[in-house]
Amino acid sequence: MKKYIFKRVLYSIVAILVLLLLLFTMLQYMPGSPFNDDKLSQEQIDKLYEKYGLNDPFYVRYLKYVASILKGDFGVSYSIGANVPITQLLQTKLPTSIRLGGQAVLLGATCGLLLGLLAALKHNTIFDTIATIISVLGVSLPSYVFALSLLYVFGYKLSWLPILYQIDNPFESSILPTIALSMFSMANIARFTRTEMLEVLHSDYMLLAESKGISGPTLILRHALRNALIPIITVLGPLIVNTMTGSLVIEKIFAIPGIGELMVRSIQQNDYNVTIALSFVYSVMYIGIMLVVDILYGIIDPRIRLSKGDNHES
Amino acid sequence: MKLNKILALLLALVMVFSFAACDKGGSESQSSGESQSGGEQLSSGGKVVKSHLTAALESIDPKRTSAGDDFEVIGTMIEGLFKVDASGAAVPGIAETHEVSPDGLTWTFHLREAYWSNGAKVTADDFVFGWDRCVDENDPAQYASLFETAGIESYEAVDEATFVVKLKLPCAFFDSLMFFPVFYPVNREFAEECGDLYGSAPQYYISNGPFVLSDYEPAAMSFSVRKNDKYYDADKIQIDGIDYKVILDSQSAYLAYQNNELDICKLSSELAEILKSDPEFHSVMTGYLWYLSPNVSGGKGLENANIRKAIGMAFDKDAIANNILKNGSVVADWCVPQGLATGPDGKDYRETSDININVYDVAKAQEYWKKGLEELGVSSLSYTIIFDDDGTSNNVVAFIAEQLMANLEGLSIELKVLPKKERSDLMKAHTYDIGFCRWGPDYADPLTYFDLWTDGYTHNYGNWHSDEYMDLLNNIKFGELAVDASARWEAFKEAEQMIADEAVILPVYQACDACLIKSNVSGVEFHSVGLNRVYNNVVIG
Repeated sequence: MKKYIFKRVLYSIVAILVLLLLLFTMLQYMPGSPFNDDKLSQEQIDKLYEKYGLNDPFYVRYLKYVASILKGDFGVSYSIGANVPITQLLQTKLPTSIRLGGQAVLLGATCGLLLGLLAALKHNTIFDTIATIISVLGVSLPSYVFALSLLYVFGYKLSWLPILYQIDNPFESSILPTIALSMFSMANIARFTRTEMLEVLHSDYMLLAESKGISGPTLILRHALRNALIPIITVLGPLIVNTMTGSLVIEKIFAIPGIGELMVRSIQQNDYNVTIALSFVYSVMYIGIMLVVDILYGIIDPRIRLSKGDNHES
Repeated sequence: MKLNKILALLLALVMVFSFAACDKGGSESQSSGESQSGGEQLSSGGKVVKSHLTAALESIDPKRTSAGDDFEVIGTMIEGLFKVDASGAAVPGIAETHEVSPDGLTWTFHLREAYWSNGAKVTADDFVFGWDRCVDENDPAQYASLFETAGIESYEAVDEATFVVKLKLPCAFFDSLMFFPVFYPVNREFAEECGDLYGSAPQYYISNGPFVLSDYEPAAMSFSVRKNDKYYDADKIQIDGIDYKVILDSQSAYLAYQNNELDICKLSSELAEILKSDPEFHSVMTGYLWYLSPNVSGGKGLENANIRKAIGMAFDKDAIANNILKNGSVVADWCVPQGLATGPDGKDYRETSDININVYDVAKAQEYWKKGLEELGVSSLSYTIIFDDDGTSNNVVAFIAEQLMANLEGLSIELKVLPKKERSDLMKAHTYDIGFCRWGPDYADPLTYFDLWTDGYTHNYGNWHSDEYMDLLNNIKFGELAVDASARWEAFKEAEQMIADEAVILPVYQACDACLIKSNVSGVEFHSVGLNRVYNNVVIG
């Protein structure tokens, strides 16, 4: 297992380096320039290119960048925060996005799992219908509409919670965005859980377990849910990353200082360093979470671990 | 086993929520820590204005930005030689008195006894240093060109309290430039100590103005300034600070305003239409002129003035202002906006100039169109209009295109929406047909617009050239007209007539900003040049 994880980490590092190279290449061909302020003269733009080493050959810039990233330095922003180190730019935004995403994942996964479980166990009852309606709404309702509705009802009409995100009151002001952000993952997880649970509940080994006298929570949690979780975890990984890395729409509506908005701005303003730094962060998170998901597979289903181990050893 | 799992889950939940709660406490202590580090001079109290911004700041270093919102925030904290009064006129700021030599070439400023928020005295050397930073050849300010525009030959600190500026030629609007942030002072010792970190956090920024930075980080979505007790005129500042909130979504901003999380809220045109009868609604004229810029050098028929005039006259500007924008924006039939500059006669330029450019008139437009097509020897023309992906432009340009194609036979229009930078790139390279863009004034003088159509100017997008116009502009800037205020003013009208005759640009509207201001907040001053909003005279309650 250790060797397997080590190999996976190694692959991940290679994947990130290749990704950086791809990003660098793609940004080369992006139209525009980071120094396209209307007030800048061509001479000033040339000087800025020189100052930031943007006139250097492609491979020199790439190698320099990789070397500085290894030292934990993402460089400086060109236009979003002129000359500001990117690490400083991410200082508050990244933890805010991660915290909000974490809360949303926790809420979405818990509620989704419970909702799916309820729907499957109470199949073809009013509970199933309600759970299905919630899931369908969660997947199909644009987050913009849902977030604004929450904001209108709980923020404006009832005045229970703040409308805007407040750095000095992050818990209370993050409740509404958390709910809004968790809706999509909750609905997805609920749908998958329901489908998987129904399939498992009708399988032969469940019949066997029941005939052996196993019943109640043990039957559901140990035999049904455990088996149903495997495919759920497959979708959980990407869902977690999507939620953790922030949602532009939710950030925009609740005025959250997160990285989603920063990413869009960096692309629009050709702030190459910020785009690459954020892509790097996204990639590391994605690859990291996928790695965790793989390990979780092994924990939930030892057969997978063994099979992977076998493959690895062979 | 089952119980263990449930307990583990509960524990995980408790940990997550405690983390969030700890974070809350942490932020609070950090916030108060920042306040202390921002300066002991901070006042406490509850009279804080909660103001809305629609984009995060680029920088609070006067050298590193050209954005209006950034200037507004910088202007709350740093004061230049002059400051702007409610009417938009330059009045003494850090310079208590000043003298201008009879030839108008030497300006001598006598500084008052003023202090930075860290206790250091504001000296003439701070201006020398601040200006030096901006004209640094290797790393110039984005607005360094204003030093050239003002014709500054040299500047020096004669002594601690005397700052002398020498000009190449008299500059009629020099006083109004002195409240523009690029001409603000920077404390040498402090800035050198901060190095690249200058302006990146409250501990790396000091003020000599009404407010001091209390809570800020680059690209912050919320930040605040608090009253600076070391400001020489602190007694006159009647609020304890300003809390800025960057809110990109206008509906959220409006709900936050309704929920008293904002005192000043900028409105989108949709909301402006709904709320225009609200007693707290305000429509504020900005200096932004939106226009279509035809590429005169593109060789696709737009080199023909009749074609340009036809296009400029064939769409209903009134419908754009009143049915699409609906925020108080006014029809522009000219190239110098209202409320920009006051002439030697004390009147606004627009009041004294009756020159019209391309007034909406379909019959006339069709006449010009026919004539233009004949001159070009073609029966149809097709153009692409490029514009920014900012929402409002989409609606305006779609309407213009529809009207043009309906009113001018044989004209086909394609629309292309682009990110602002890309659109700007294409226009600067003169590789476009027609662009929809805007220009905001850099200083309170019509020259800030007329310069746009001079040879070699980056923003002469259409690459229009006229010897006669160049001669006139050179005379206004460097010739005998430069020293004769009345004649200079008349010459501007002559220049505007040339722009009108040649339809160099096709003006559409002068933008208005709609906003809501709580009825208990008064005294917010709005300006079209330099500092968009000034809070020096704001009163709450």
